[in-house]
Amino acid sequence: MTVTTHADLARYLKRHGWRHGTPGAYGSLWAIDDSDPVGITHSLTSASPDWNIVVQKLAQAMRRDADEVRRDLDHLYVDEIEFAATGVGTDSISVEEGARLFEMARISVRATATTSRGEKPYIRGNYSRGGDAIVERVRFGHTRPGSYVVPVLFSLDPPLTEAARDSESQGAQPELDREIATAAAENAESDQRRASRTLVQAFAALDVFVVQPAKDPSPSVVAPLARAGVSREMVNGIVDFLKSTEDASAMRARPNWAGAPKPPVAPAQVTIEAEAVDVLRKTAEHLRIVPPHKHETVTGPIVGVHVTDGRRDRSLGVSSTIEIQAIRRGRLSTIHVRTSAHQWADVNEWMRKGETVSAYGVVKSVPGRLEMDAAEDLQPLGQQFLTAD
Amino acid sequence: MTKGTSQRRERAFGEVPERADTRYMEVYSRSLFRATLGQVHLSSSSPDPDDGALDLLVSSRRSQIGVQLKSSYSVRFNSRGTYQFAVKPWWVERWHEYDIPPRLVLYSLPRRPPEWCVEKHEGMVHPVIAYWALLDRSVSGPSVTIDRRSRFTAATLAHWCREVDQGMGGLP
Repeated sequence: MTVTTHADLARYLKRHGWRHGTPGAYGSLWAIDDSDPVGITHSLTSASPDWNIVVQKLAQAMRRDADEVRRDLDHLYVDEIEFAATGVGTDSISVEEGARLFEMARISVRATATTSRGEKPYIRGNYSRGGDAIVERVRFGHTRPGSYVVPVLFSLDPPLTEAARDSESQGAQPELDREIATAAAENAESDQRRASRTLVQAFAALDVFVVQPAKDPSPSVVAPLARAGVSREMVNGIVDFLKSTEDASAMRARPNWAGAPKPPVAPAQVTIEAEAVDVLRKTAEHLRIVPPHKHETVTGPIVGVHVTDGRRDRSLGVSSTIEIQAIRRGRLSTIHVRTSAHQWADVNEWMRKGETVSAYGVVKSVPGRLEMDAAEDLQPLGQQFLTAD
Repeated sequence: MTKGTSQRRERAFGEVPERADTRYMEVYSRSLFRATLGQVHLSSSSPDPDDGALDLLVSSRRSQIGVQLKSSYSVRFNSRGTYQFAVKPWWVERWHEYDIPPRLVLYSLPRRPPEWCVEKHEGMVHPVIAYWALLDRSVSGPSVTIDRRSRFTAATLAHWCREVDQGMGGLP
């Protein structure tokens, strides 16, 4: 396991609302709200002999379980998505259910790793090489007592950015708001984070569009499901698990996002009850149909915003060009999408929150960049889901 | 009388031995250290991972102070009032890595265990003297200088806590 450095710890504490006093010869005092100050020495790392004591003090001040805080700090660059069979009373699960729980987790991970790089409602064996490369580094963590829990761990690389983008944006936009630029840049994702986010958002989409309505789904659900990364393969994996359950009453997917990067906008957890088997089966049938499209959907975080109407009073809204970071044809791309003045308030909010947005339209390749002039539908995925509070 | 014909009497279990065993010197001195902590209501914990360069961590108000505990029955001070206590070179390297310099506490025990604790009319008497030294960057192998005037007592702990907590800077 990698060592958590002092800088990692400081970043984590600041993000969680801690503040510190003037440093002394040995270290600094940190406090949150009105807690008793906790001393952190200048070179404290997770390899220090008093690390555990400090973690306990931090946890106490945050009113959280020490083991959870320790796990957060060990996993600053690891996304953990927990799969659980709920309603299982003891520490054990039947062999059949347990095997299918692991299998559902495996298929979901593989399928969404592929769909995170481009919509594919029906993968049909065409798992992307980039997706499978991500899966090779995903690991199951140890199970934990309580409902039978299988943690899936994604180690995150530093976020991908296109180097050219920085120099270009500094020079060409005199009106560019530096604060907006920084906030947008924080939304950039690594491949692994894109995959783990898609995994959770795909489950959320199934819940909202299929499970909660609790009636036979119409073919029109395919579009929003596919946009969120759902595939027939993933749905079949869920169906296989739910129909095998004797003890478990539901399955649950719950993300514990890595502490260091900005967390994506996604629900705190998604639960799918065993009764949903029938509607999910019917959904899988619909996902077999893959209509060809001239238009494309590009989905991803907003990593850049260029105000094109700088002289206007911002309260009236300004037109802009936003950059959506998406995988297109197997490669990381930034697609420049024009937005109109009336969309400015929304665009600003989505970018600050780190919302995943999707734009539906025709992508043009012009010298040096990809553009979508007239997005017919620009909306955040989060709009469709209940998001974490 | 020829040697080898006399039989050494087996020590009964629980009887005080005649000769000191370093393991038990360690147990005894650690208990004395804990007793001193208890007297001033301070707590201690084990370092984790336990790498051997520190025996325990004393909790001051704002931080943790590393302590290396040692005991010896052959502490002899020279004319300048100092004693060179041998230490392992890798301990010294480890001590230099910490922001807060740890402390060495050396218990000078009588050689014979029966003399470690004597029951008198007024109570238990431990004729044991403890000394301490700061293990900061000026310490280099192969030994640590123990000054006979540097006695470790309950009052020493208050002094350590004050000094360490001051080094943690201002309130947030």
